[in-house]
Amino acid sequence: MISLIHWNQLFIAGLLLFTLAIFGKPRLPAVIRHFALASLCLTGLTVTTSLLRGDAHGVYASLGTFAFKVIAIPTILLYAMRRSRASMQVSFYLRPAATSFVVASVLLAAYLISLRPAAVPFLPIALVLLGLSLMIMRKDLSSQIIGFVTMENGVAAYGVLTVGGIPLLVEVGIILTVTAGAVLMAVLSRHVQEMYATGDTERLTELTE
Amino acid sequence: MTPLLLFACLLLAAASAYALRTASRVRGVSLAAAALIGGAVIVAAFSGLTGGPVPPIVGWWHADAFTWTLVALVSFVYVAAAAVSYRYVGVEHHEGVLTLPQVRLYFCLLHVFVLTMLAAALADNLGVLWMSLEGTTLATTMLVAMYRKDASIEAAWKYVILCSIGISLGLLGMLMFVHAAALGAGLSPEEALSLSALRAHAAAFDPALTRWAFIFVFIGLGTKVGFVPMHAWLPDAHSKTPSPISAMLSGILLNVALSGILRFKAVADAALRGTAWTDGLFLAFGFLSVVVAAFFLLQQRNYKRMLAYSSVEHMGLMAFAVGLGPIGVTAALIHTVGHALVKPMLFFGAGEIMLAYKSTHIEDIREAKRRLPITSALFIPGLLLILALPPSALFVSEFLAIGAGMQAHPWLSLLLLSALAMIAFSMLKSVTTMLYGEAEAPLETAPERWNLTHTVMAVQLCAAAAFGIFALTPAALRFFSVVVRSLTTL
Repeated sequence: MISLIHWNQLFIAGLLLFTLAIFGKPRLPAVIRHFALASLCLTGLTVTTSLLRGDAHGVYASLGTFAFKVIAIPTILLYAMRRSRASMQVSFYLRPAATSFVVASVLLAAYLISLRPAAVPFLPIALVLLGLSLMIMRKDLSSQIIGFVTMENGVAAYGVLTVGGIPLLVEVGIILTVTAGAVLMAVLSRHVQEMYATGDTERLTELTE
Repeated sequence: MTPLLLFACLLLAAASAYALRTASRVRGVSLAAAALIGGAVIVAAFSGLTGGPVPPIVGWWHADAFTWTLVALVSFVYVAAAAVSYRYVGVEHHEGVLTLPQVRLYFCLLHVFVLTMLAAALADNLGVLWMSLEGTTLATTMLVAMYRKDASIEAAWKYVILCSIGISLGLLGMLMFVHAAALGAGLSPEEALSLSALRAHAAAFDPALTRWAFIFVFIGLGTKVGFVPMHAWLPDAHSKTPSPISAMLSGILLNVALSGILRFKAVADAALRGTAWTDGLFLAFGFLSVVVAAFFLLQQRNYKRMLAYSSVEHMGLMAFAVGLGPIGVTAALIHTVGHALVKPMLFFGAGEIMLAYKSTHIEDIREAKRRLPITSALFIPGLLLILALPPSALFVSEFLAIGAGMQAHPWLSLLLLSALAMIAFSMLKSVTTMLYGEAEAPLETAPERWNLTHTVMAVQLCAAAAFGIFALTPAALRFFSVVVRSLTTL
């Protein structure tokens, strides 16, 4: 019989592993699918942490995470990509070996940061840094959006693991705002695809000085 | 007018853009709504500042002297921008640059943008503050992309991505403050989400966690302020947006974001039992912002980007001043008001130049003094005021800041002065080229007529000059010392 604490740790591991797996995926549907799975683990983490704390409202908040991050954002991203006939192939700045090295360095940095101040967990810092790295290492617009929502998963994980008990209205408001941001980015990425006939961010050089 | 009633009125004004049939009605109703709502808020803000009766502001909201000052500035810029938009959007719609759906979107988002800024200024709850700040980005992204050209779409993409990353890091920092409050002061998450509660209990926070929290808030909200090196989005977004929106972005949004950082500085200073650590951050980023902006201004070829980099410079100056202790904070507040009165006016003037020449490149603008005599006559004093020539309030604030800086960091202040001289030279050179440079072909155009934008510019010029004179009086120092007290805990 797996206890609640074991489920909690399983979701922490799943959240990190699915996020790491995004770095190895060469096609956008797979990237989005792994983001959805990571978000599903975040939902599980929210539920189990709330139950361990005896705080029922976190369970309701997790419904918002599930509805928006597991269902809505991945669906909207896939829809926007198909509508704009974007290439499903991800473009990389780095080779796989260099990517692995950067990811390992990021995890080490997150570990070192988590050692310094009192009680800052490793997982949120790692997710925020991984999200940032994804945005820097990938050239395509969709990966940048995934990088942003991965960062946001890190921030949400920090809230779940350390704070908890945030008023439901505020929590739902934050999730809605993040979703609105992701939708706006998807709409803009469609415009970019239509204007430039590519989703490669290297082509966005009109405004460089 | 309570905050929720105010937001309901602004939402109603935003919705009205989609309820009306013609572009002229959309413009007219939006202007009337802005005048009514903005006017009512300005009256309430002055009442709040002078100790008069104000509506109850409780719960998730908080209003002190600093809040009222910021709210009054947001409302003033709102009314001015709505009036200029009435003309600017009217001309662009008439010329076929903007379609009716775009006009509707423009005015709808204008009111939503103001709503988010006012909510950010009034917010006491960290969740509401974060949502409002992110809301300012979401509300303005489609305004940056309004013209649907390559460059404006690119600017909008950079804007939404960089600002959203910044604001997400800001949220992480805010949650760290909440965590520090829960660990150190034993506050419940609901209590710890209040900025007032954080300030009251900050002395019990863990210093190491507080430092990390403030770094994330500073970097996150600093992206929105436009501190170098997080400023990459700012010149692009401010130059590609319709001019009245550029005026709001440059003139007041940056100040709203900076006000968020200042609120957390007060908490961090109380937790760290001193201002030295946070002052160092402000000094470093402020100095870097001014110097880098000076070099970009030196080789600037686009007059709207020139004004945008000038905003980077002024935000840097404010940050530098904040890092110099109470006198510096007073200087920064005077600078905030002076900048908010003058910078929008310059963007409105830039909009008139854009409408006449259909270009934002300095090389395309020649003999503007002859072709646009009224705009030029208003633009030149505005430029001198932004360059801190007396009676500009910026002269008073820069004099105070550099004076305090010379005592604390003489070499840094001297370098800053050199950068300011470079900026003055660059901006004067660019503007004189535009106004007096000879055109290759003779210009034959109809004489410029006085219009609504000129009226707004003239009112702003008078307000800026009057405030500059007021800033020299002891009454101003008394007033700003009250505002400074609402921002500091030590």
